[in-house]
Amino acid sequence: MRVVVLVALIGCMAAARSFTAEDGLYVGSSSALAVGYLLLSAFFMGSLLKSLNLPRLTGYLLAGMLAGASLLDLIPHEALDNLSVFTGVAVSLIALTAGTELDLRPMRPLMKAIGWVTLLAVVGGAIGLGLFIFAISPWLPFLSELALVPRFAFAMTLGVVLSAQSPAVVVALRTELAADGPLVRTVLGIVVIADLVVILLFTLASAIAKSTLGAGESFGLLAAHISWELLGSVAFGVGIGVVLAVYLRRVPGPAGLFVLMLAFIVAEVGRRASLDPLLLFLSAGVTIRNATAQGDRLHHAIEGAALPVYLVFFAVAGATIHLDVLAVLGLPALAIVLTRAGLFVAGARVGARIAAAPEVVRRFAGFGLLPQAGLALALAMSMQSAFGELGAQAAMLALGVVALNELLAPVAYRWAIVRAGEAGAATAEAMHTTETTRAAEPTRAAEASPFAPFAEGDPWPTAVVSGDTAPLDVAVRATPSQ
Amino acid sequence: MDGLGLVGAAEPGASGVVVKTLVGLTALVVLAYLGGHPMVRRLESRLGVSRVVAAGLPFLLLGLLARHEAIGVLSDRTVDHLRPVLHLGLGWIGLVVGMRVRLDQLGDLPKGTSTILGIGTGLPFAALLGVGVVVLGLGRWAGGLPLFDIVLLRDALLLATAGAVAADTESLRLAAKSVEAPVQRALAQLTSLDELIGLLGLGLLTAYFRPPSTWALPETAWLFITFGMPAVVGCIVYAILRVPASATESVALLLGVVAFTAGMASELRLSALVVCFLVGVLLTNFPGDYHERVRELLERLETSIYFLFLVVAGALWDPSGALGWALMILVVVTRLLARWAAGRVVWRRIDVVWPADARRALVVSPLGTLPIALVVNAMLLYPGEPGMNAVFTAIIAGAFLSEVIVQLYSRAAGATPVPPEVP
Repeated sequence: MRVVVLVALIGCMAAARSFTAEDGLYVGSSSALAVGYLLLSAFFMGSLLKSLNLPRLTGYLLAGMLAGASLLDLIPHEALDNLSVFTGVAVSLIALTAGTELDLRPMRPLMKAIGWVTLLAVVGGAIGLGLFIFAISPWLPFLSELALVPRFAFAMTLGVVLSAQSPAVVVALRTELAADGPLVRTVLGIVVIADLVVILLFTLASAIAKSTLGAGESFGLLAAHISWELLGSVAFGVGIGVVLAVYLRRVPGPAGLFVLMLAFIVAEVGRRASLDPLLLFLSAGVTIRNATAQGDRLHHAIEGAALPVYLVFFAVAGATIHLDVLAVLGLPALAIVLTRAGLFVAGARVGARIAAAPEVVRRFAGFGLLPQAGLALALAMSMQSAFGELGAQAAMLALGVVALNELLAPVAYRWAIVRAGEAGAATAEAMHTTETTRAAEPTRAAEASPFAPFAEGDPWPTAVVSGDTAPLDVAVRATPSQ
Repeated sequence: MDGLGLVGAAEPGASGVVVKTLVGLTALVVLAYLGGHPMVRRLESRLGVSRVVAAGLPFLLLGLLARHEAIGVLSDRTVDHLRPVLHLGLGWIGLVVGMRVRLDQLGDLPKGTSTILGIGTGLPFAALLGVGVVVLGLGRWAGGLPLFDIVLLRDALLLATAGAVAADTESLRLAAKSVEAPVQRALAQLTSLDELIGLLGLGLLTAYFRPPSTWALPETAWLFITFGMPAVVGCIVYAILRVPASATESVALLLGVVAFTAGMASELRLSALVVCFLVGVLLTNFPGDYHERVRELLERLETSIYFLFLVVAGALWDPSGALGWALMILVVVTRLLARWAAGRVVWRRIDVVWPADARRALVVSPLGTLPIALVVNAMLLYPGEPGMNAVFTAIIAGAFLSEVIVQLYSRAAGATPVPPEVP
């Protein structure tokens, strides 16, 4: 039945693509159709892959790839572009989720491991990747003609770009598997911190590379720009966290729609003001979780909207993958993917050993660093705009690496979580949280608010929770009676 | 995607943009905070404006405010990116209305239904069509546009279709509170049928007033497509909804189904509202055990999606033209007079005696949410035309005004105010 539905959906999309109104006016219908198609096809593809013991997340990406320009070309480019607002909100919600999960108190014992793994795997991995790219540069046409010093500087910059991780994939897999334990907590901490580290390293490396190529802006300007982006995002994030906490405390009843609107507005403002929405909402989430008593309430409010957001977000990511790049740069891309994996797994193992981290962290933390998505793509685009033709060709290689990692890395990290025995571990604890939260606030949800219908866990109150039956369907949605 | 902010260089004049957007953000947050505050909710209740339509007003104003140049949160680009929300909202409303139509109950219609609908809705339709042709014609003449244009007829037909229908709302039930339950049920059935007529009217409009396209078909063929497409999509949706799913998955699937159906319809320049309505009719009449689950989810999220829909609709609304406001007053007055006159004719022609309260409730019946959806749908299908904007203003403002009128009428008639609504 799932395959029949998928074929029928593809047929409808192909029919709709053959229709064009001659007035050429944009009415937004292609984006609505794209959202609907991606939601449904990602769901069914995820379900198909689940039956093959693969992550649903990979199914979402595959559904997007199938619809993208490289394969069936079912979604016009402008429709995908118009979904950027949706992805902006998705990133904000994902970051807020990650932030509210970063309870620093229980994470304190893991901080040493997080620090060492970040240093050795992430920073060491970026350097190692840069050196590897420099080593294979004679076989990379866009690098082979550069002089030695700029070639080295550019290779190091590309190494930083390719070392980026994906907090979004890590959070999504953790939710999909209802996982909890030292491994998933440590990995979440690492990828969040690594995000900051990679951004900083990229700024530094690209500034040096530009100066060696004779095309850099002044270091002072660059430093001011990056300071604004990092510190400004964190400062605004703390402010937004305070606003959200005040709202949650003062206005009784569900807050989902308010959070959604705030995410949208802040994502828009952030884009225009060069603030990073990921950092901003991460800071907001961490503030609410660690400095207020509203963390659980916010977490439940966001979780209600998780599945549709994730389905579209990852399907759009899949649709934007350039498979054609793999045909040209497949071999070097594969070599980089394998080197990156080796560096991360080895670096994480050594770092975790030095920090005397638990055995599961030593063995599997490196796999959590493999997923790659938005940040790497964004940095690749940044290279393209900063380095012209040279950057464009490097970006093509980066896109190939990201494409492979998007397909393979979630499978690897899922395997690691299952092997570590942390899949499904969030269920019991979260059910307990739900019971206590609901018992403490029995009348709140009954009170009216214009934001009421997006009640925390409200439209989704009765899901049976297990890592096998309900993707992204975490335990907090289970009713006490279950 | 994560980290995209890194590469997005600040737009020109970024500091000004930041200040403006921060001011706008603060204003929006304050408005949203106030909107949810129990004190404000109590005040709304006391004033009798807490019905779904009236409660939507702050959201419409929110969109209008966010779009305002001085605020600048919703730029042209952003509004373009948000248009899919309108299609989703239209599809949702259409599906909700469609899922209420049980074909097996059509045999239980009250006696004289065809006469009540034919005259009771037909007369206001004709009167509003006349008002629309005259006022919109004057507007075209004042704007130097050709007077005899098919667009004028289209806009007037839309105005008449949206302005003539009655809605089965809480306010209507309040107005007819004193009558017996069977009459109340008949009243609800009649107003529901009125909404169906409005939807079919929009379906006809979109089939016969079309932009040229790569599918060179005669207009009547588009009418067949309007009814045929829901049958095809309905079968796919039927298969999708029969797949076992958890509650969370059901929400994702329902959102996907509505966005897909509405997007498909709009992509072919058909009415998303009508196509989703027809899909809803099919789904509710097909066998299966999903009906209650789907209906419950639809209703649970309806208000939220409707409010989001109003925010985007507010951003598209240009209320500055005087023509729209003049048309609004004329629509509300003409509609009241025409429904009153139609009532005088109808109750003499049929052999049924309804209580005076029920008859008066039909006269003062509010426009409800459907006419707003009808004009928003038309705005999407025929964008950027001055007449359409006037119709938009007239119906949106008219819907709120008609809601206030029925509340005032109910108070004057001594009915107990409706308790605050939990959306």
